[in-house]
Amino acid sequence: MLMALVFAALLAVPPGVRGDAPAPATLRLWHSYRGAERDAVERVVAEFARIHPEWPVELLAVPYEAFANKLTSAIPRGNGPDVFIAAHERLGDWVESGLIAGLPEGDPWSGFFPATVEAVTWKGRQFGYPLAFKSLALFVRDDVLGGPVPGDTDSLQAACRRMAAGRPGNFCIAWEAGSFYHHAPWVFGFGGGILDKDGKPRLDRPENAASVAFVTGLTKDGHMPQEPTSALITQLFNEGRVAMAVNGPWFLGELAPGVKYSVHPLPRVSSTGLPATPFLTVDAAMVSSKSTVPEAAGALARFLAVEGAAPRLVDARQVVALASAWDLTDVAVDPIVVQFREAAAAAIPMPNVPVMRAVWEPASQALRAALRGAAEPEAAMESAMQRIEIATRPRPAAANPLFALAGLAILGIAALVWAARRFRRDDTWSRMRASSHAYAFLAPAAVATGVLVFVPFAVGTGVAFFSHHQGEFTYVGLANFINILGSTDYAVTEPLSFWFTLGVTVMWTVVNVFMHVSIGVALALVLRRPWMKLRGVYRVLLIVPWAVPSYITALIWKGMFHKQFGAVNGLLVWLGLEPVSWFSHFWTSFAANVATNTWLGFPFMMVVTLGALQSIPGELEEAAEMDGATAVQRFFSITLPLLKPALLPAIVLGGVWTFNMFNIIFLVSGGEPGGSTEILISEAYRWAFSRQEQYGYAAAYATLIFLFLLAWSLAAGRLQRRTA
Amino acid sequence: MAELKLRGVGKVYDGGVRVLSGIDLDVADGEFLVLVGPSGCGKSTLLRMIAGLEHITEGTLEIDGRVVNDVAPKDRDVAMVFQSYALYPHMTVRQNMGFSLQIRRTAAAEMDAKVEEAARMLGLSGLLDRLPRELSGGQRQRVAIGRAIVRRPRVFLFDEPLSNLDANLRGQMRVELKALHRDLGTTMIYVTHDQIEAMTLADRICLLEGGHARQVDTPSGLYDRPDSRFVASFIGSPPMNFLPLAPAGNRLTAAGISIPMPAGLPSDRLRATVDVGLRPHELGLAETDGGSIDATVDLIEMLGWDALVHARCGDVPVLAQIEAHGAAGLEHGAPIRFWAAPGAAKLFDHETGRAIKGGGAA
Repeated sequence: MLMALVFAALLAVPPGVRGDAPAPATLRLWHSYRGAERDAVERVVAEFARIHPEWPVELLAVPYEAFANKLTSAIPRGNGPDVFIAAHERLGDWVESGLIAGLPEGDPWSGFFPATVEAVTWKGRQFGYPLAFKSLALFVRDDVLGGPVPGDTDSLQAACRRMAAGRPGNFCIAWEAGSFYHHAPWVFGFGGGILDKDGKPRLDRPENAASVAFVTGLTKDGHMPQEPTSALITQLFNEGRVAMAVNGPWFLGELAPGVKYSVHPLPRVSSTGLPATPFLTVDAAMVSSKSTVPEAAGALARFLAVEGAAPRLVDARQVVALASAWDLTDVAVDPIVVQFREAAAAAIPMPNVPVMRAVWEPASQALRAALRGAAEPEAAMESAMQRIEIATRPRPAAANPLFALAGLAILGIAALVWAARRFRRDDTWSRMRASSHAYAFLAPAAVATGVLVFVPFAVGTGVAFFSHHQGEFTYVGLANFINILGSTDYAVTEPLSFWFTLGVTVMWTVVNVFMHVSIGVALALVLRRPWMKLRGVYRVLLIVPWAVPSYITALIWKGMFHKQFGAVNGLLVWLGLEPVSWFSHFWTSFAANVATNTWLGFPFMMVVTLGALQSIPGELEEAAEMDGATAVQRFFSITLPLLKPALLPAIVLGGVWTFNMFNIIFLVSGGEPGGSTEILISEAYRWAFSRQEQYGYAAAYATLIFLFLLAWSLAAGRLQRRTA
Repeated sequence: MAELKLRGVGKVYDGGVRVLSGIDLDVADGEFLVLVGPSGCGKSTLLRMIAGLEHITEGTLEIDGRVVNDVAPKDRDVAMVFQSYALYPHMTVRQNMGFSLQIRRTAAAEMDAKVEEAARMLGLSGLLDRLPRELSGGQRQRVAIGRAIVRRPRVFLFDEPLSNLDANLRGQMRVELKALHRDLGTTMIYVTHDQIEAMTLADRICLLEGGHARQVDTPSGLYDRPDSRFVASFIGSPPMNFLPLAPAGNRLTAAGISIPMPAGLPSDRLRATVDVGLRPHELGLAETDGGSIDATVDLIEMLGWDALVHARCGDVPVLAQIEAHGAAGLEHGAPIRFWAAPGAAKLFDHETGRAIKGGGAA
């Protein structure tokens, strides 16, 4: 999280330092395609360059994860592309922040499928040429299903019941039920909706609750696997343990070779007669508003959409948005691509309004709560609404920065005066000159530290006094801090509250450090015993958890805590106990996080202890033995006090690491249930990246974390000096 | 207070390395026994086995008639002073000395009284609230001793307790230890490699070599009646001279050396070569009827009242301790004749090193 802010801050550094600008006439095209799609786009661009030699094109593939961030930071500073290919979801945001240009009126939009044109339309005007579209579809393993593909939910349930009779441990259908994107088709199928006619989120409708109840029922009856993740669904489908999967075209890349499947539209909901309607995501070619060659950029974007449609359809198997491209008779189109187009016929464009991004996290959380049985569907949807309202609440009013600026100026002048006086009094200048070599050697490190630590730190702290909305930062004074510390928008006992999360974080840190130290010290003591054979082997094995990248460990442990397929529940069942739904309750979820982090954290303490034990003479323990002390007395009166000087700094450091242990929280519990196991750092991330880009609010969190850890380090330092 | 009885005690480490074998030893109640020997002779191991810090792999150890081979150190009621003192660095002198009492849940008042009494005996009264690192070496040594005596164990064990002190302090502490033993009257077993410490402190000495007990005797017994050439060479400073001589009639001779045969040792009972031991102070420049050694002066060490004359008789080095005025004017390369004190010569088998005693079996 801090790193993300640091990078945001670095990107905010004035332009001119990065990238060598190409010649003015060169068109820059950014995309995030890979493989066949990338090849197809490159061929289309080459064709464009052949026709228009006066407009050379420079292609840049930007990783998907970084794409939106790079665009929003590069375009306003003139370093961005002229044309870029991106999903249409953020179109509204980009138009409002002035990143993309409207396209000329009167272009023949009728050539594209209407839904794709709707996707690139903002307030009545088009802002991109639709290239291709994706939506969820029904993947069927006909060999496993052994019957007709269900066309509605009644026949789906009938098929599921028929299958369940035969084969335990297998499932009828699966999708990422805990993700609201995957659930959305049922919302529409049951006649519900997400936004009201004013474009405001409205989840608390009876139809939405009915859609949730439908999915909960499928899970409860054992037709769907529990806690389904994308990896789990892929595995089940490939192994033939699930007959149907709802997924997007990207699923194709994960299917094992030789798996026989077909693609179909999602079934209708029998009670309403409406089709389950997935969201349509449209890849569009958009033109930057800062392009120096708008005419050429427009031409390239159009070329990609129109002339490029056929190669993209045929070679890259894209479901292209240009209707006429499908009428090719001379080349055979892959039947799967046709099936995808048919599945998308009912799809509706994903709303391109910015507020949509505030919906995903709370809606998904509510879904998972309902699926676990922790909340009734209606209540879950209502609590999601409350969270959406908090995320979309009005920004704090702008404050007058004059006061703060004056204060800063006075502080700055005072610091300068003080420094100047010190300089003169201590004759610092001539002394510095005398050891100028030393300063020269220090300079690179000092500059690097300044650029990599102090500048981002200052920027991050500064951002905490601003409010961010669609690319604009407004100075709001202490409003963020007052809101956070005053817990003004939610009760202190709610997971969203800073104080609640602080409590969880402190408990998380204390429990973890206690576990790390006790297990680490215990293992170190055992490893030191002379009767231990193969000590070296054990020592290496015990350090392994430390050497494995922590996110891999986190994902493995998350898998082990899976309710249906996890090793932990497997063990419980083997012991004759009930399986536990680990992420349904605060304490079990917290325990899962702690178990994972303990696994990661004890080797460090063990290594520190092993080192410290080397410096304790064996005779001390022997002397204590002669004095009559038992092993326990020897440990607590001799060994532990002597380990203290080495352990205390390790504990301080371990405390800081654990306090900010983002990976484990984010990857293992993900804050479940209901965000209650979030710690401050992961909560800051959520404010910044899944709740309407409230960067200022998140930066205020980060600043508070910093202050808290600073206080902790100072207190610990004092403690250390006193005991030393 | 206690008696110790060791029977056939030996130690073999896991890797098969043998460091001690067949030690038989009786330590009387209240006795001060010193284990002495060169480095690696196993004396510290033996002490640690008595303490219980090392497992006894062979034989038995009895304390007051009870076999304690498998008794934990804390239940043997012995106290040990380590070479490095092993003071607990995070505890004050008072806490260090009181630790064993605290472990036994002694009442605070009684504990204070005992610690202060021990501190008074050792002259530590003003230092009770200091940490070990604030003390000098000698003071630390006293604290280590204080920690041992405060709980009045049946046996005290000392593992080279003085070897980390400078020579002056060592001499002083030696005297204090002797006085302490007199005052406490407790059985003490003391390990050292320094034969002077052994001679001055011990009621009896056990001399170890190569994992075997070579001789157990009083200091004067070891000095006057060594069982072997090794014992004779180890005890006494400066060390004894050994001259390889040939029996010839009633004399023992070599080129430039002629010593009368000790009484009761007919020459026909001797081998062709005999090692004759003479302590340096038993050689003088005044003529005696103890025999003579013709040698060449190598160098002189003046000690003040007396002097050490290093000389050479052929290949055999000869060391004499004579009065300083007699050594004045001797120069390198000058010929010199030493006269042995009558009846001083001790005979050792040249092959086995065993003492050859008059009248007994050879």
